[in-house]
Amino acid sequence: MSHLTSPNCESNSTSTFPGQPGVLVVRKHHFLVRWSHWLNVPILLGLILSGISIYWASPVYQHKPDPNTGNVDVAVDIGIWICAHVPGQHHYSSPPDWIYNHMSLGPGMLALALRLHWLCAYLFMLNGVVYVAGLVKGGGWRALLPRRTDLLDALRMFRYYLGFPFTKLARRKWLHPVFNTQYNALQRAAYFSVPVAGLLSVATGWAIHKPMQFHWLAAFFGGYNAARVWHFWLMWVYILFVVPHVILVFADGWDTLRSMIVGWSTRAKRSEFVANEQ
Amino acid sequence: MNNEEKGDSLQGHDIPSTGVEPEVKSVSVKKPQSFFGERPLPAIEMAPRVLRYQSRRDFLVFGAGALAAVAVTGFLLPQDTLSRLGVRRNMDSPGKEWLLNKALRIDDDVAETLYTVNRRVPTYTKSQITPLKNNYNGSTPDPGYISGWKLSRSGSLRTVFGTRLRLLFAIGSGLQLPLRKA
Repeated sequence: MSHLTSPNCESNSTSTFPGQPGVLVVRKHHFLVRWSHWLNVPILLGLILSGISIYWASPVYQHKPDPNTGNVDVAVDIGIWICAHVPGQHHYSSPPDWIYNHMSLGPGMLALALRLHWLCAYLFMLNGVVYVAGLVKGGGWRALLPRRTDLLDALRMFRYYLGFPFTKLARRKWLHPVFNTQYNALQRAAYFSVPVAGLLSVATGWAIHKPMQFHWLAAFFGGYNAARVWHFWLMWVYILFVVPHVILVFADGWDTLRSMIVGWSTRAKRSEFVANEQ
Repeated sequence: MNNEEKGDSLQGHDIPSTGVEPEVKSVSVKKPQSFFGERPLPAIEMAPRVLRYQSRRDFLVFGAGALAAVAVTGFLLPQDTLSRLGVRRNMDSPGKEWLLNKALRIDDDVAETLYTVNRRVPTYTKSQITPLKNNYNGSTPDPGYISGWKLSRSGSLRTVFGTRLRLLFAIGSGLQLPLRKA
């Protein structure tokens, strides 16, 4: 769709709508943004799986050695607890490894995981550049910038989401707050914070990997160990973002999902275009 | 999720086709208010056949990309992980080893290239030393645990420096692996 209207186009409308045939669509996502969006799925999966395998070798969260098992790793405790309490997991062969067997490449794979982690990390950095290029080229970056009204608008959206299930159950109408922007305040906060998290992940990753060369970077995050904690929790930012993101995309409908594949949306406001015509 | 759906929406299939299909045409775009101000999404009017063709093409590319991602993931995952997932076939190959090794050491190669004898590394006092916190009972195993392991050194001082860097790294990571597996 490279021959379509540029996002920065300020030309006057030439539409004959609604008198002529054709499908009215809006161009939502630049193809570089779409590509980088979908490439993030396997890359982030690879980073998380290999990252937890790396975590196994030197867990961030430890306690004093267990007198019976000698275990110090909190993740191992969680695995043992899951095998003891979750139905169907009582006969799991190695409860201490449950977390690592289900959420990583596996325990005892530090060297193999590090190789994959860095391959994915380079792809992640490259993909980030592609994403930013797509945002700049398509002009989509403006829609992600925070605004002064965001706090109030975010509260309105929170109220909407909180009330939505109850009104659905009561079969009452519950109106979505109206905004004149591409994204609502919560979406904007999420879509803005994820690239920032990506940047911080890369910075903390380098600080951990090269603490001698990048000692100033490690110091910026509070030292080597603190940089590891940052890196670990930044992973959770992605996970906590992805879960509601996927749920809301499916809840929103086919058009939203399709627009991230094909780039365009048929959700065009008739009134807006008619108004612009005049 | 998107606010636009909450407005007075116009679905593409609502528009009756009269047989005269236009090419892609700009419909309207509001004038931006400032450099940082959000621009309205550019609206275009497309012929249904063009839209269908482009959608089909994009979906095919997306599907091919998804299949490629699955294949690449299968290619790159460690054999132990694949075995745990039920993949019996040996997916190890020299190409895979080369790629993964290169990914890990490319920064060392760059460091070697940029190495200078005048560069000073930070030093630490004894009080800054912290105990090892790892899943190897707090110790770093000896490389001698790996049968057949050997280290060869050759080349210039710079290459030797790089070898030492990699050796230090290997002791800190890869050489610990067989302990767990034993």
